Amino acid sequence: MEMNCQEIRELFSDYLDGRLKPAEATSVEAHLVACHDCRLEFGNLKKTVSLLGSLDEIEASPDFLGQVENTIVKGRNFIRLWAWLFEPVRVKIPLEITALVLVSILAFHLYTTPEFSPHQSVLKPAEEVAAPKVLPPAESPKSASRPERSFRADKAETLPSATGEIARFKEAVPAKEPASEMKKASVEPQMQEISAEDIALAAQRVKTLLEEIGGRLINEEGIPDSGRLLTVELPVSGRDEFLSRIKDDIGSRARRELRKEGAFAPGGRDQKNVAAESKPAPAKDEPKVTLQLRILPKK
Amino acid sequence: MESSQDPDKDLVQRTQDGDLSAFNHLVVKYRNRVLGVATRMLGDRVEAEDVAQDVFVKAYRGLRRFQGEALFSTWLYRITANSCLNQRRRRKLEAQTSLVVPGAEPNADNSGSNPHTLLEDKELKLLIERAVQELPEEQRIVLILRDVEGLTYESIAHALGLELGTVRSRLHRARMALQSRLKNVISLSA
Repeated sequence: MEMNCQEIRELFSDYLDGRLKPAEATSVEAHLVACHDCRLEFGNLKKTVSLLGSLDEIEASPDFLGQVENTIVKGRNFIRLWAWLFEPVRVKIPLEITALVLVSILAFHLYTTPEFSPHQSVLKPAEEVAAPKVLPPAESPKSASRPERSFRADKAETLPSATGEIARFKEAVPAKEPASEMKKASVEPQMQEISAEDIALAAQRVKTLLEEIGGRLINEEGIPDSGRLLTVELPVSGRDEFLSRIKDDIGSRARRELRKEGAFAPGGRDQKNVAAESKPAPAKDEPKVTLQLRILPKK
Repeated sequence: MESSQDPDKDLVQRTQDGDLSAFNHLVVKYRNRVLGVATRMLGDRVEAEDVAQDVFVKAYRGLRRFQGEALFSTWLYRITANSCLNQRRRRKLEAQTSLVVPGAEPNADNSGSNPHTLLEDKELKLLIERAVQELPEEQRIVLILRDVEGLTYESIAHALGLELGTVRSRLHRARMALQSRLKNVISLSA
């Protein structure tokens, strides 16, 4: 089939590059022989392409290589760091995401666990330690006549039954007493009942006697009928003297041993935790006994 | 596969092994060609030099992932073409830039206005450069890679990510458009 000039000129570019099929190339050649205009057109195209190929090479500036090299060297460290952190991407990225998730979960778990929560393990004991500073000393006369809310850190471990808060406190604040003083001869407190006309005065007298004998007050709390329950600790050798002097000084008519308890369970509504320093320090190795004194109003 | 005959295979391999001096050889070998494409695509010599340097930096950084699926030169032209097209988009110029060739400015008075004077070779080339600049960029890049740089149709198709038929049609249109613009000039230079 014979092609017209327009169709032939559409094939010029491919013909020039030798990309026509043999039949098409033959058709073009035959047309060029016969058609002057198309022959002129093809000549101009060939000349144009030839001129394009003869265009001068554009030379790079003398510092071209140096600039490229500088940029590469500057970026090398970053590339190495990137490769070290993330490549191969298919391996490291999933691993890093997994590690990030695990660390986040662990951090959340630690934050929400009471033992590690800063709000429960640090702040609370700090408040408790600070509390005694604003209260009057245990031996103050006023302390016997009004309720006290204090807690002595260095005596906390002597409480037979510690609450959860005290247990945490003991973790946070190390005990000041040496291990040898931890020895106790009696762990089961004996209950003594005392009658007195003036409860506060009687309690103060107990404390004074306790200091003289070398014992200490562990706990003081109110009990029904306007009475008061004191838990004291004193050397075994001073037990009889202490009880005798209580009888003499306070004038109790009845001092009976009521019962022995296996555990001490404070829990009154207005429980007060009081501890007193014992001035005449007993021998460190001497066994101690714990007593509970129930002071009731004389009827 | 054409990469098996890649004359740059050894230099590429050494560069991938961390030999920067091997890459410097590749830079020296191809810098003028990359710069030529960039200059003719962008029409600004200084800007083209920046782009050309950036092309080699990109090539170095990407060479570790180069698997030899094409010739290194084809791969480099691909980076060049993409960089130029991105640069043009960035500055939003549409074929209205004037080409500045080092050491010479085009003289409009000699662009065929005096039909009785044969054009000097230098002037003729300047006119051709200017005519190339007036082509649409998608035709221009094909024309430059084929008729200036001498790439095969297949390499152009790979470098530009085009079908072979698209390369043929764009090249044909570019050549015919250029011939039409240079008709008077060519007849005078003959």
